[in-house]
Amino acid sequence: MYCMSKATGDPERAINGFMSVAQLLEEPRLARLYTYILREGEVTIDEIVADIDMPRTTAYADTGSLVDLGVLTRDEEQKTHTYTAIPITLTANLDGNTYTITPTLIEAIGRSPQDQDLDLLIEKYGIGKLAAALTYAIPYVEGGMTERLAARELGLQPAFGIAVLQALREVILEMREYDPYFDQIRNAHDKPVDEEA
Amino acid sequence: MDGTNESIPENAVWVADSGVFIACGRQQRNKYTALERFAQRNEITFVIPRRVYEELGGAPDRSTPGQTPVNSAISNEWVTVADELDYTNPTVSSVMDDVRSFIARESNRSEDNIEKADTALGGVAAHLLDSENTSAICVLTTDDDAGNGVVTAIEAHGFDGQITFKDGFELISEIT
Repeated sequence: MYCMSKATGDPERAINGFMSVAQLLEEPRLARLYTYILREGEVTIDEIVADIDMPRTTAYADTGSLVDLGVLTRDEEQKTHTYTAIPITLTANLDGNTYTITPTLIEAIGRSPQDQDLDLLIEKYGIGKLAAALTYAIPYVEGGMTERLAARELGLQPAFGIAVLQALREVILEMREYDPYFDQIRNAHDKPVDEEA
Repeated sequence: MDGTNESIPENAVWVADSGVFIACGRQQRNKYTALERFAQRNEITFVIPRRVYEELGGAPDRSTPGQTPVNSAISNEWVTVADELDYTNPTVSSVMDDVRSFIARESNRSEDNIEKADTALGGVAAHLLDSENTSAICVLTTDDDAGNGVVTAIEAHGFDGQITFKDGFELISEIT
């Protein structure tokens, strides 16, 4: 069992962690299950089935996948196994363009199939745009960013941009107390996302 | 005011922003009906800047704003589109400049990044107060910085106590 949150210079773990996060970003169903467990603390399969309306077979398969990805631990001490999420943070740095992925972005991905605005954003512009929009939604919620300025800098039609900010506002309000790395997410108040240091 | 705890003058004209209609339409659409009921119960007609009308109409079809029934709200007379802004009116123009400076400061950007159209809410409020038919305005927006900017700018132009900012999310949770 490796634990990405405690990674200390192990290249193998870094790359495995990177692949795990990439998989969560690609699979909203896994993303949604992961952040649900992160918020709940410790859950059983029965609780998952009841709370997020997921067939039992899917719950077994998906928790198994998340354990294999190293983002969930399974406690097999008790007769009824329990699952706990490991908070993840991954900083990507591509030619000086950096972004820190935390559970808040994972939650946004997990919500996308049930949220027409997030779904349309990802379909039209990709997950990178969702990540960029999150950096605007943070100062939008906390003060220090207007809706139209955010929409313009993100290159979105103003009303659609506002809808995306509102969708991400719900994500932030839900996640900021459970995401231990929330403060590491970039904040577009500091500077526009396309202006790198 | 029926349905909200706020002390908003009975005779206030409500100037509403795009985000309010979008927030009503997101996920469960019954919030839109609640807003209509709130308007009718209080005999309010929400005034929207022309810019807001154009933004809502220009949104992608499959997005929440693209499906906002603003046209039916207009034909049912609980929403109306404001007159074209008169930039030659010094009060309107000066309020909009002040809102622009406020937004730039709050957002940590230069004023060049803020378009005049971003301040339309302030322009409409200034126009109405300047016209003498309106003694009080309530600005309804989901954009905190825009709402505070309008209040600050309007008050600085001698309309002290005639402007209130009501948070759109707050109103929606009070009326649903």
